[in-house]
Amino acid sequence: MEGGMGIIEVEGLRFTYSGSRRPALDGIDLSIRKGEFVILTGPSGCGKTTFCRCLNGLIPHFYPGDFEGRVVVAGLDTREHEIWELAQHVGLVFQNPENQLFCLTVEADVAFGPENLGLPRDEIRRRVDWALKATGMWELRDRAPHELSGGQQQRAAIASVLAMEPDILVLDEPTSFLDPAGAAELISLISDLNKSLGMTVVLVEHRLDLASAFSDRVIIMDRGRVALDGPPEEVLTDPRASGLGIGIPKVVKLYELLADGGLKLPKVPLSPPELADLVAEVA
Amino acid sequence: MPIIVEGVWYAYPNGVEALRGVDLTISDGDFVVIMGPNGAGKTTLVKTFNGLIRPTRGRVLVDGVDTREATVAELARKVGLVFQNPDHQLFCATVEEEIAFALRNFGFPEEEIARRVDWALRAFGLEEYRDVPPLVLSGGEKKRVALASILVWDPKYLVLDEPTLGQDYAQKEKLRKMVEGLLGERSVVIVTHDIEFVVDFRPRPKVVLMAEGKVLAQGKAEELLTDQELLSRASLVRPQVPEVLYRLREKGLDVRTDVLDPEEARDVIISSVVGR
Amino acid sequence: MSSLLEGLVFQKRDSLLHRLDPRVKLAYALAVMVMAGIHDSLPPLLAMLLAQLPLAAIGKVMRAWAKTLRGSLPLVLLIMGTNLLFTWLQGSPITIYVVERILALAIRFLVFVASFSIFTLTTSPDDLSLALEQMGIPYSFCFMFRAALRFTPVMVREARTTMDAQRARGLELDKGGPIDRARRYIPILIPLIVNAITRAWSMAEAMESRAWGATGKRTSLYVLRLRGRDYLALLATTFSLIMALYARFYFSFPYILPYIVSLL
Repeated sequence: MEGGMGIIEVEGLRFTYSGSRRPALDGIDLSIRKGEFVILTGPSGCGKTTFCRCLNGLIPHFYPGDFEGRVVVAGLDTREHEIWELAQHVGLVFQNPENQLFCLTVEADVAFGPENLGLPRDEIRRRVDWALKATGMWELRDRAPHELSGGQQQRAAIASVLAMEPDILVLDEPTSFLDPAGAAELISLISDLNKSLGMTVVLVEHRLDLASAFSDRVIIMDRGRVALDGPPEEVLTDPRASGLGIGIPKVVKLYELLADGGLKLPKVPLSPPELADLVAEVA
Repeated sequence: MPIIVEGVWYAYPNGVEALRGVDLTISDGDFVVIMGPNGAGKTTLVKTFNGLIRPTRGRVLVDGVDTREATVAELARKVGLVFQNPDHQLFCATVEEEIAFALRNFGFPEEEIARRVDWALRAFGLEEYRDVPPLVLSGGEKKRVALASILVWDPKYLVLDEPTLGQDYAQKEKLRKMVEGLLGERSVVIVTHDIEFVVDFRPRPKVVLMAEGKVLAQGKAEELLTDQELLSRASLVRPQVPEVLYRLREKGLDVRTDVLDPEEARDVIISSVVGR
Repeated sequence: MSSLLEGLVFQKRDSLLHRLDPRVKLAYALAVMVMAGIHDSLPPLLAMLLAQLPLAAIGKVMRAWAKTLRGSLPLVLLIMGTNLLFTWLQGSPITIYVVERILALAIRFLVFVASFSIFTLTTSPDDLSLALEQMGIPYSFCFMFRAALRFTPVMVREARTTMDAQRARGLELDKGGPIDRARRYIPILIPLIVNAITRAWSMAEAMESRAWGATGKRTSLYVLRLRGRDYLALLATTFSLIMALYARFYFSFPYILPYIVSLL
């Protein structure tokens, strides 16, 4: 792994929350390249949220604690830059959409970030209009947040982060409170942003059946460390994966069962259409 | 004696019709899963079981008692409803008190309260948290406390509203095992849209599909959850296993599509591929 | 009581009044209060009350406005009753002149309610907080005001869910005497308070993550600009205020009740 080439570089990261006895992150080294779509997963308590907070400076600036190692995002060392500086490169979208939207209309929320930066009005207008259109929220821009569905709220939250024009989008379990249709739509939007804007994405997600097909890389964390890291086809079929308490998609399980039964497919499928295509080819 | 929902309609005070003519029966020992999109009326429906919502038309009978003639507290003795978000109900200074709360409300004698609380703490692996405030526990632990605080009074009908929200895979598996252990002695109703969670239950539940305040269909999981048309009317994402089989059939392979189990699907696929 | 409150909630309409700058409307409401405050005879106060009618019509908020006035009648009657009682207790005779003076007090109160509700019915909270911001109030306060408005419906919904969840555990909220009942609400209040605190924390995180505090010179996407119609409205308000002041100090209004009674 070439050092210092990634848009996110993490070296020897260890973090213990103030007042806690056990470290939440216990030695993380990794590098994420520009434009990668990374899924971060693992059982509850493995440190995924803590890791997200380290990417935009909430750790160490908002959450006091014992911080060791280095995190460099878009060339900025998170220890040496304020959250508001890092926020222009890393956009963090949280799990609960309700608490990230504090204004009385969607448009006002999207404008919130650029307003904080003291940008001139026409620049704010340009960014807001672009972010609303990029997330499909243009028609809903005058609505109040409580009038929106969960999925619409999350899209509004993404728009409000996009208005900061970040290079990296970090999303911490954004589909948690959404129904399956809403979740699928949201992940599809995130994938579009990754492909069309070249935005680097770090998506913390449990629903691997919905998300893994869009990703370039899956990182499984366990107890504050990285347990597995690689392309989804490799990680999800790794024998250690099931022991880590993550939900392996049924199509992957079926792929393995078929292989055991004598039907070996040339590729690991990550979605039902893929599996059907592969079986049809072999048949 | 069952829970009988007869021609139930319900409109909220602001005029929104949440239930538009629902008929349903939940018999002793039944395991029922109610599925559908947000706004289908699933939560509204289960709230009629314990009287939190009283139908504007039609009636709900719980063990022969019309819910309009009983108080919520009386109905709750029989119907234990576990809400989605434990943060909307946990408030006590210790887990022990939290679990005992309902028992005190129902007027159980103190020795019985102590006995039942001990049982609940053990059954849900919460003994080490007996004197801990529930509000400082993790999300998964809070859900266990919430569930324990309902099961402690041993309701005949247990209703879980979206129990898998915000849970990771391991927690869902634990929840599934726990529910499977509760079956038989009582009726369990789960409201959810997590289809892969439902599909893994053994024994398989009876499935009720709802949309727009009505019941679209009721029946066996294998039949309803593999029916593409029904699933799309209920705005549900199709489970991966039958989806694969459907696409294979479209491509000309001779396969059954009413299969939910990966092992069964493997056998079906291999036998059809070998057969060619 | 609730119908009184209805007149205080913003109603989205497409009307001339809605398009006026919120600062102008606030100035108007304050001016009317001054005008009504300095007069204590019935004729001018009646005139002021009637003058609000066309405004309510222009603002297309007649129904809610009328409801508020109707809802404040109990208070009005209370004011009149108390005043009558005190007059009687003081031993003064209750003449028709006294009645008219007390009626004038009641009408004055109605004028306050009528003008203030025209303001609140036609001004969105957004515009109001923007007005406050532009008038120099620090952004943090305006933000708090907006956030409180934003989360009120959310908290109302949460309160209902919490009540349902606790009732489903056998909590009976409608039993017992007043002190007992207050205690029974503890299982509702604690989750609400805790959730409010958690929400504040989450909001703070989200705000920081969107560059809160980046610069002391915060800009705004929206700006309130006074237009021609705003200046006209201000002019009209100022003119009315001057007229009212003039009338108070240079005019003597007759009592009209005796005249009305003699006609009957």
